[in-house]
Amino acid sequence: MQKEVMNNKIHYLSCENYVSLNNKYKIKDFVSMALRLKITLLVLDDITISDKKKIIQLFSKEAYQLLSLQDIYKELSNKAFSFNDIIKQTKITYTEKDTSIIIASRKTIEEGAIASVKKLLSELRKQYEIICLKANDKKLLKWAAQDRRIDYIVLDASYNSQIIDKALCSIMKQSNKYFEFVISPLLKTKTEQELSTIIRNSKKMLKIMKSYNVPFIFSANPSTPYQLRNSSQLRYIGDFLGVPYNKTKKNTYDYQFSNLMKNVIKLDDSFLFEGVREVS
Amino acid sequence: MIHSSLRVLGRFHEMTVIERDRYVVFKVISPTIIDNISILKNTIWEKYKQLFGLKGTTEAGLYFEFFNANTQSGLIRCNSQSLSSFMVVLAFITSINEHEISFNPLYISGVIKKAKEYLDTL
Repeated sequence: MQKEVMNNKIHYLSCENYVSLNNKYKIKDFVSMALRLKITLLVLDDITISDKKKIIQLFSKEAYQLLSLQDIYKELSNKAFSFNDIIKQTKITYTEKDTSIIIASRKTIEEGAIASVKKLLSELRKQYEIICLKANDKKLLKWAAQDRRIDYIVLDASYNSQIIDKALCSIMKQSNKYFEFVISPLLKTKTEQELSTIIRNSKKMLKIMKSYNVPFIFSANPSTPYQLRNSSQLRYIGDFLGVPYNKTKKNTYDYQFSNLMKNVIKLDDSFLFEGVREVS
Repeated sequence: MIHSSLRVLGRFHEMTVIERDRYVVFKVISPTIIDNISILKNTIWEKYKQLFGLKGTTEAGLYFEFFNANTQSGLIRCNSQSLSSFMVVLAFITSINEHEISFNPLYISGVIKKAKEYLDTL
């Protein structure tokens, strides 16, 4: 098994794409755990871009540094011109530091009807960096797969595998959209019977995604900081569920980061249309 | 000539496959300090058995080399073929005796000396 091992030390760029905060654990707990696990990008659910700025200011006196991709982009936009250059520069200058974490905002829409999702999207798109859809309705999912404003379609490991089919996969692939595969139900189960069902469902879903070559990402969606998993751990879980370890190299950081960067560029004031920005 | 070459081939055929070991350095992250290695052992064994069965557990050849309660870090030996399953087991463990816990694998080596050297730096 070929691995990215730097002097045998397991060193990966890791991202947690779905952190939902609760009453028991706050951002500080998740950030300190992420630093220990070398997770360099945390996407916080239900936190708007303006809230994120306040959080960064609040944490300015801590030993670690919280960063925003908007600020990074503003710094780099004069030095790097192409999208790939910006990503490369960000990785070199910011994400490989042990004391800094990039935080981003996201919203997971959980609605059952297309009309209500449309209404929410028009209100929310500019308030969050990432927008995801969590739904059980096939028709809604097929509509969402074609909508540009939605970045990910969330697939929980506990879902029935029949929710995804060939048609949905081909639409997803055509519109270059990603599934977000959430592994947290595997860690939260208490009975063996439940665990067995979840493993079976997740294996089926990943098999379908693999067979139609649909891009997908892994996220842990931890309810406590102790359920956070870094890149290599997520890839090993993926390997257990039937996707080879070597084929998920980009599914735990690169896809998430490039999607996030694309949205940050789109949300920037200087953005005119894809590939073109206004220079003052 | 043919006989002698066949004899050599036969010897190669009889050769046993050497099972390589891997040494995994890990750190336990938990709000409570764990000072008893037997609790860790039991948790890992039980999770391994739950996910891969008794056959998988015996094939993994797990051996708990060392655990330092001060640094909350330790060293476990496993079979190279079972490394990925062992990493899955570590990722699946979320609690010990109703206390939240997380295993962070830090370093993998095929040589115990190097693994111990890394452990000393923690």
